[in-house]
Amino acid sequence: MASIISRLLTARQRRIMRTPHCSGVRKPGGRVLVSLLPVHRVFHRAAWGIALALAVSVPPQVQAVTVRDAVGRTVEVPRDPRRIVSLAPNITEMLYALGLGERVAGVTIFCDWPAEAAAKPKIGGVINPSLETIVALGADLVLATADGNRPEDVNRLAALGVPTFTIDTRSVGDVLRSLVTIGELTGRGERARELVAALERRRDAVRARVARVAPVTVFVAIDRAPLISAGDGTFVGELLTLAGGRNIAGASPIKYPVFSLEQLLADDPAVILDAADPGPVATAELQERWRSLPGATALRAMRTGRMISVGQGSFFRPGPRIIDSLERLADILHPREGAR
Amino acid sequence: MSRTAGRAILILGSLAALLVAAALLAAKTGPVPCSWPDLLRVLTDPGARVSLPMQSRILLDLRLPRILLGVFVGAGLAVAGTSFQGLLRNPLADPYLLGVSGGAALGAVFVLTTGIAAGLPLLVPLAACGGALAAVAAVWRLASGAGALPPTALILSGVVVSAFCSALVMFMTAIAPAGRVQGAVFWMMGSLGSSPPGVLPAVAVVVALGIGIAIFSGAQLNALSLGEETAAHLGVNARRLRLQLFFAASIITGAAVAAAGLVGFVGLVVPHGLRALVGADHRLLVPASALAGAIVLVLADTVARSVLPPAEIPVGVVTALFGAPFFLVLLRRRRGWMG
Repeated sequence: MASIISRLLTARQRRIMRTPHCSGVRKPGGRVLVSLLPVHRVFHRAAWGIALALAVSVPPQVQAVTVRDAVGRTVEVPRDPRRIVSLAPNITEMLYALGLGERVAGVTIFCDWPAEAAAKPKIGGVINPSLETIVALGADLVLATADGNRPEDVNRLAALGVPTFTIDTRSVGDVLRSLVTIGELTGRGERARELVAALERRRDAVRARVARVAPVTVFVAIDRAPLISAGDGTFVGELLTLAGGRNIAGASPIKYPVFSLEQLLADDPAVILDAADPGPVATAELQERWRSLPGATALRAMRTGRMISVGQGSFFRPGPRIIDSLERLADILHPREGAR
Repeated sequence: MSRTAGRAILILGSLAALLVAAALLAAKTGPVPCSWPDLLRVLTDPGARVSLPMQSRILLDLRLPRILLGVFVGAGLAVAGTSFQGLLRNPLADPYLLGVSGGAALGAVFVLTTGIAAGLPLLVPLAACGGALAAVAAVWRLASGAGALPPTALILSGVVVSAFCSALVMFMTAIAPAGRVQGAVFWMMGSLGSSPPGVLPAVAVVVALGIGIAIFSGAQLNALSLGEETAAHLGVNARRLRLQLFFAASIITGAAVAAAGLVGFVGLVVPHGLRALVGADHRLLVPASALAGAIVLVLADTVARSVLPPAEIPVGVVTALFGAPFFLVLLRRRRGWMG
């Protein structure tokens, strides 16, 4: 009976019904709003104005806050979202990292970490989510990424009355800021700031460590046939540079170029990272696979064994584990004494 | 007769010389610079492996195999196009009309999007070739019901098989994870740089065999172009000839697609251009198409390799970008074909 009634209600009415009436604990202060806008610093002045207006005009038992997301859309997010749908694997990881696993109502078919996320109801893929499944799950907050999801889907969901908030994860800084943003939206602001502070400390430690040594030439293969790499301005390129590498595809005019094999032979990088296989493979097996590329046997990295497979999966995923990957990359590029 | 033979020798000789020039230009051009003297030393002096190791490796291990692949794929596609246009008596026919491309794409995209090709690079060309031949067999069976393989039956069967294959390709692309879709998309755009080393000799043998059959059928194809009845009076068995050419053009296309993906327009534009240049005598047209197709693809791949260094663009993009306007010019000059 309850489910029949809830089906007759609009998404907004359902959202209000589910929201616990105890929102006096947290004041709808301006601070929250401002910290939700890390990417768009230019808007801060305007945001203060909006926040002030909100603080004045909204009664204390407010059910939702109006915030601006990473692509500049205005979103009305419930104060305490309980049924969160993630539209991308890196968002799912962020939600779990903030201890919000219980509140995750739906994930994409590509969300494979942590293991319990894979058991959540599936809403489809990243570029082709099932909007009706999301609505049927009773989502009170949908989180999307600016570069992975399609704006059409985000706008359709918003038009259906589902609060849909877009985050930006195109750089390591964006990932860390997005963690705080999601924390603020879900009442986990404190935990998010602690987590991010710890991640930042680890990132800075890597920075300090590689600042003392000369950069190592590195090539990353996103795919082998055709040979696709990643240039500067991509997330992968940023990580390589942060970890003390000099990306030989850095100057490419295309972000993910089909890279000239002869240029690779001419540059002959010290380290080759391979993200072409479904999962990481052993170096001997990887070298065997590279042998099918003409001329590859002459590569320095083939002879020295400094050719490492990281797999297609989550190594370069812009989520909370990205600092793990950064540390591993730094160890690959600049092996510690005695660690090799 | 001797005047015709002399003209043929002149035309084929000039095209062959142009092909050599195009190949040398292609060998010299690339993201890593190489001077003419260095190029000649690497090509002629076996000691260059030691004295010029980097240039030797790039020229002999990378550019030369790629140029040779371009020669065989380009020649093959042009001859397949000429054969299909002759046998279907339709100027719009190209090597991909009869479902070969759809079947090849289905095979390649299947192994690429499921990820089973990750550790087995030879699986992609094999799957593409298998898909191409399966599609051809299906077209063949569908069209055989209509008797002497009339062109309309072949074309319609080809369209149906292509549509079905492309539906399956889109389905597999739609459900595949994003990381694997890119590889499949690039494969479909065509490239001479991503086939594993063992592919070149296999493609060379198959394409040479197919071109041989097509050249051998040239005189009969001339008779067929006069109409089926006239051809029958001249002792040509239309069904057998079509079968023969259909087989030759299909194995050529299957091999070319397996090695280079879907490179468009070479098989459509080259036969047209050559027909305008040398006439419709298939005894000359077929070998001339082979040489011209090789020149076009070698030059197109040179552009693809060197226009945005160190990135490469798919050679299929280059052939279509130049081929489409060129085709339009041809059509305007020979307005009769546009009705």
